[in-house]
Amino acid sequence: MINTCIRIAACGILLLPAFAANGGDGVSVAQSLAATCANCHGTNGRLPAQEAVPALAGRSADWIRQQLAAFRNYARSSTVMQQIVRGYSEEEIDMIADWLARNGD
Amino acid sequence: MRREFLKTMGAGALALLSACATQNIRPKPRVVVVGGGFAGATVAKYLRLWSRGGIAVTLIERNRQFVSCPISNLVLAGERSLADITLGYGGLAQLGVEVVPAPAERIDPEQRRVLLAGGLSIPYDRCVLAPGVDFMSEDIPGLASEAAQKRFPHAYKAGPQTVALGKQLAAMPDGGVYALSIPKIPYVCPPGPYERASVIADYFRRYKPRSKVLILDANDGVASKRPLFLQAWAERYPALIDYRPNMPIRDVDAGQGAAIFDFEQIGADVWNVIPAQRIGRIAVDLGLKLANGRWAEVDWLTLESVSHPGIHVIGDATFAAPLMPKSGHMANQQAKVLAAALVNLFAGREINPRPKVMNTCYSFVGFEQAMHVASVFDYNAEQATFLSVAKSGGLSERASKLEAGYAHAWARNIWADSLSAVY
Repeated sequence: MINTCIRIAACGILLLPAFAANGGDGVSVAQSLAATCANCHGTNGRLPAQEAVPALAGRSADWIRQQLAAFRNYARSSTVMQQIVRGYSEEEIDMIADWLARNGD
Repeated sequence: MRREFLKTMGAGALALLSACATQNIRPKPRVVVVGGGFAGATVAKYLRLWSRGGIAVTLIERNRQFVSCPISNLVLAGERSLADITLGYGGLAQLGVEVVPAPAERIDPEQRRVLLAGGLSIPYDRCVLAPGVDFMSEDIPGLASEAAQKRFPHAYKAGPQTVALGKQLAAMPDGGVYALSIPKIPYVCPPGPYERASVIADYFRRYKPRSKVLILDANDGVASKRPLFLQAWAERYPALIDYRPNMPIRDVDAGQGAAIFDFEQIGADVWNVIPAQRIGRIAVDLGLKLANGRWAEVDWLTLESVSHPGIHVIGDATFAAPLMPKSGHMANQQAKVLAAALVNLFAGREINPRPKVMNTCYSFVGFEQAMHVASVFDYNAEQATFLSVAKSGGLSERASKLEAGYAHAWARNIWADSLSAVY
């Protein structure tokens, strides 16, 4: 999928799906929340290369929720995630996990 | 529907029809972004992505390439090259951003257009100013001459000065003194100068062990990640770093190679003077409402200037919310709040009333060890600003090799999130 994106991109302007002339889908709160993760974990969870800070695309919502819970209760050791996860409510984490699982693969 | 309409209408009505059709095909809303740093690049990318190409985006940036300030301190110390931190705007162009490699001269808010040199002008529905900062060199009169700027470079916008200062450090004989003048906060990237002192100290430790790093800080103590920097310096460079707080610079004397402070004049072999900063000139000329004459005051829900409707400001140029750092990461996050707001505004949808932003910032304390500070902010409607979420965020316990790996990954990932066509 990522390779396809890169290949298409290399050929010229990407064909973005049409923005409805009147209205459009807009950006949901879930999408905005998920975008706060993108600096480190990739736009829509995708990264150009494998990195020590992982991409999140293709992960299930349950997996993302479990990892974040493990960071929160220190079951999974971390440097920064245990501190970041405390800035997000359970409801926000659900929205992010669901959005990434639906849109990130 | 239209075909049936055509069939049923006589040919004489065609002229009328085409006039109607022209009105029905509404032109795409156009956003013009001034400045292609982390803030400007990110908003350009996400406007295209989130509007699915429905918003026309023009990015005006004087430099043909993006040079990252994060990681640039390692370039000074010879651990990375300028090429390693330089990226093109090709990814944005692939997403349909019209990239204009020219300096923006001024904004005409009445006519809603951005003027370029040579009389060119670009109209906008919404204008985004991401101009970064200018140095307040007028505070240091001796810096006016070109010779002084070479002798006292800031190297605080990654690019030619980074290379020039790196060459001066490489040419400095063992036993020399590198002196760094740090302005009072707020300035861009609060830990940046201390990271710089640290990696240059590591360079000296390895290659010029009789040399010294002299830090002359206008602040009353290390302004960011204080306990971690002090710990790293005490452990790693005990005799190498001389840290002096409460030392605001007053002037420089290029002839003497010295800087002037309240009670003394100090000489050094290699000077690095980082002046205080303010929002880029184009915003000052426009007459935007600025806090302390330096930073744009914005409505945090839309990043719109409080004085100029239709003009939005993001990145280092904004008057920050409490505890919010001026960082590339935060610039990228603000850009996404703005992109979402503009997409929804043009689509006639509600603007997110509870935006959220977060920051992660890595600093190297040597070539191979780094540490972080992280924070998360929620919009608070009562106070109309972003506030740090209680009990969230924090510092590393100590610098580590593990986090040096994360720091490099962070840099590559944020470069991609801000500039790459992969999504």
